[in-house]
Amino acid sequence: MLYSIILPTYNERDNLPLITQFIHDTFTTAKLNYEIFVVDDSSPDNTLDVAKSLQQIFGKDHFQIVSRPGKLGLGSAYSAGLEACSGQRIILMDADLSHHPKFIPEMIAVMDNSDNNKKKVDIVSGTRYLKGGGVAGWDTFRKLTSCGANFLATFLLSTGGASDLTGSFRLYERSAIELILPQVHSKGYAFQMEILVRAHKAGMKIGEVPITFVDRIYGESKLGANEIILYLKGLLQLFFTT
Amino acid sequence: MAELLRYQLFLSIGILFLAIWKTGLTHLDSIKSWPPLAATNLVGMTPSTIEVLVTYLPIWAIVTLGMYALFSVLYRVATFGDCPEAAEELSRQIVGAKEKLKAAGFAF
Repeated sequence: MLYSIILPTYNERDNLPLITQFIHDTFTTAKLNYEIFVVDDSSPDNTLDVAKSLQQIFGKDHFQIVSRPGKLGLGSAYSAGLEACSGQRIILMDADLSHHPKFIPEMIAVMDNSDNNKKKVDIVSGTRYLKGGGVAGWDTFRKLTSCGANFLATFLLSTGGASDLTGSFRLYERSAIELILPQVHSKGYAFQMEILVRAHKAGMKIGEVPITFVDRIYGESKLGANEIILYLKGLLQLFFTT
Repeated sequence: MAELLRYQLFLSIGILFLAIWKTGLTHLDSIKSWPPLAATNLVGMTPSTIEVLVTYLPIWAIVTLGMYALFSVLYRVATFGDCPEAAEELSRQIVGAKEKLKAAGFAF
């Protein structure tokens, strides 16, 4: 069983070596086969060069690079990675160290154990909102907006009880992500929501594992009024079309 | 009923609610004099209370929904999982990872 981890990168030259080492350690300890697929959108900070040296160190078996001519969006980055990789199971996660690979074996366990149970889990979502999960680095305002947004989304959309709709740390069976990804057209936070909505609509079961999310406190806040409006637009679009 | 879109589901529930409300309004008097309801006069279910309840049913529904939303979100925020240890652990692991990478020949 080969696991492909698709890492879209844009200006991640500092984090990429670290996340690669973490992934390597996790999978080596768990004795699982993995390959990392970096999809780089011509990062101005030369993430590509860093990726190439990492490929030398970890080997082409474990580290592959897809280089794209410009910033082409997350959805197409996932599609490009999916097309190029060979794993039977796919992990989508952030490359900026907010997601820790140590939760991947737990996700795999949930997926494996579901084979014996009533319904096969096709997607395991890392959730920040269940007990055992959480976030490091959020102030009360951020928590309010996040919980508010999540409540609104779970109320307005049908996702079969998933607790974290905007999370981007998930394990997919290849068949599941191959079926769903082409159907997803939202941008921004709504993108991740749409994946779960469409998966639920297709009858797939979504498992969950609590994860800790370490928010890197950079100078820029990614949650301006623009982001919120984009989110609400995406939410309403899904409300009316799914 | 094969594949209702989400907004269609909400619309259907809304229409159903309106129908119930309309029925309640037209039969207000018979509701007020319904024996079990008349018997609960003691707990404040007077005919006038019933009248207010039924006449402004949509408002009560919206208020209830709003309260549910408010308390759900506040509860979530109050019980939110803060995990500063995760940030600390990450910092430690970054140090370790950097050493491993250096040893493997990575040039920072």
